[in-house]
Amino acid sequence: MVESLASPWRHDFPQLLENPQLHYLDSAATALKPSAVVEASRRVLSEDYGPIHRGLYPAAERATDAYEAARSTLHRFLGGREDDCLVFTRSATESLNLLAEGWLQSVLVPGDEVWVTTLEHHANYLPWKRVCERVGATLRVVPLNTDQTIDATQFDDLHPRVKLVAITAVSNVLGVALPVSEIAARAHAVGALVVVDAAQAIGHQRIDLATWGCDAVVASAHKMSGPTGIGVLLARRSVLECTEPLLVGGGMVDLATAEQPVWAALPSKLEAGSPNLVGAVAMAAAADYLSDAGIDRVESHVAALTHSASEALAQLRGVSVLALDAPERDHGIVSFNLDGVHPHDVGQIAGELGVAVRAGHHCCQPLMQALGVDATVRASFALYNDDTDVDALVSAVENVIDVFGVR
Amino acid sequence: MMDKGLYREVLLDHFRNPRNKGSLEEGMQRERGSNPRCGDDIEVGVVQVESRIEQIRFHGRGCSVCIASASMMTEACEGAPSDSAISLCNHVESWVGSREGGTVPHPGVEALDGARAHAARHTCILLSWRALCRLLTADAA
Repeated sequence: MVESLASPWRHDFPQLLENPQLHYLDSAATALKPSAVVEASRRVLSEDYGPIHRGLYPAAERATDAYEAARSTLHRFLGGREDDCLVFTRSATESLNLLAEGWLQSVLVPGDEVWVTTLEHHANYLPWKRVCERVGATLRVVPLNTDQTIDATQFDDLHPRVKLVAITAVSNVLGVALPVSEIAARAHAVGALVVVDAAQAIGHQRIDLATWGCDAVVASAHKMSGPTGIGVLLARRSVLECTEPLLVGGGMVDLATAEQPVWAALPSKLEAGSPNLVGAVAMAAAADYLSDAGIDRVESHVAALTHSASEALAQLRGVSVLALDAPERDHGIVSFNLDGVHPHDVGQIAGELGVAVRAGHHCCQPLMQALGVDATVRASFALYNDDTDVDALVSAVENVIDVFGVR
Repeated sequence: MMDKGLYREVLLDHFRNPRNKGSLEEGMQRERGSNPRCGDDIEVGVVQVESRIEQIRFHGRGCSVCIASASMMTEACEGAPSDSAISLCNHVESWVGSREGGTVPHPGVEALDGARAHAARHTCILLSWRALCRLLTADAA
């Protein structure tokens, strides 16, 4: 048994109320939705629906107001500054691709460098890699320390040829946090821009672009209990002014008939097509829900659960918890392996026992390679989890140990 | 212990004590099957004599379903005419793809019935069968 870690938020999540036997420990893949988000989606679909920036009648005005209010809510939620601009995209992945193709491509020259870390998700690795290869620039991957973390001193060698440092706030495999502010200070000292992938951190940790002192942050709604299909890019307006749109078409152009079309002003320039009204409103509802819950309280709760789970799992026969000794590790994720048992088998048996965990490479093959494993089992926690989920996880792994006769 | 569901005792026995698993001998025809998404990586080796599978082995690593399925495959195919083995590979492919119902392709693979219900495990089941099918089909062509 672990100490009592009841969740005051569990009853806000319909899927858990409908399935009391479900122990959902896959929030790092996608988080469950609270009633507030479901209700916000229903309301906009049934009461406030209409075209955005395209109609002159009341329903269209209400829809436009709701969409722009969502933009403002998320700008504040992410710690945006006055000279930042928030663009809605489909996902954090699209946001990073937009920056890579629309901005980085035009500023890199052969011999320049982009720095990322071994911890990065493929979404914060492949877009930069592709542009670097196309331009003849170098993508440098900062390696893991022996305690499976990244520290700021590893960025002491940054130099003026480095144009961009792209880092995750929290590893989606190891649950370790990076010293974002310290890295940003080093990057800015040599004139490099800093992009933070907050997809993993956003559901349970304060995201504060201003305090971090970074130039851009990206996130996906579905990892903060919002819907799939919408994400954001919040960045300095000066960066986005120099960013070419990935998509061209309706809504993003002021003068299409000119020989050289004139793009619309930000943020419309980067939001071609009819905007995702429902997604934006529901994402903002998720932000409001987390703000009302108190993001610091959520962070403490999730950290306590993560710590409890990793300590309990580490006691089990044959279990190796990754990054167990890392100083900044309790950010909602525990990755582990079981001697002689493939992670898929652990995930399958856990699933049959009602414990939903992820098994695989978690879209982090460079990290898997560095760790010397093909895959891991990952349990990830959110505000709606409690000690019964930790107990169920431990019990499920004990069951796997029995089935496979792990010695 | 478990006679229903995915982890049937027969499947676990094939995983713990895989048949015909070990180094492939020199001169064997070989075909590799790998799934970088999960790290399953096996190689099948056969010796054919007069269009018959005289010997079949495999080596590599994978989850319990992958290893057990490869083990069952070697038992089912050893000594079989090569064209019958190709037919069996195709039958297993369609039986697994249908997820339920249908005729069990071979008594030796019945314990995979629980695994085929899970679409996410189809690649695990079929990795070795597809490798064998490629090898035999290319050889027959």
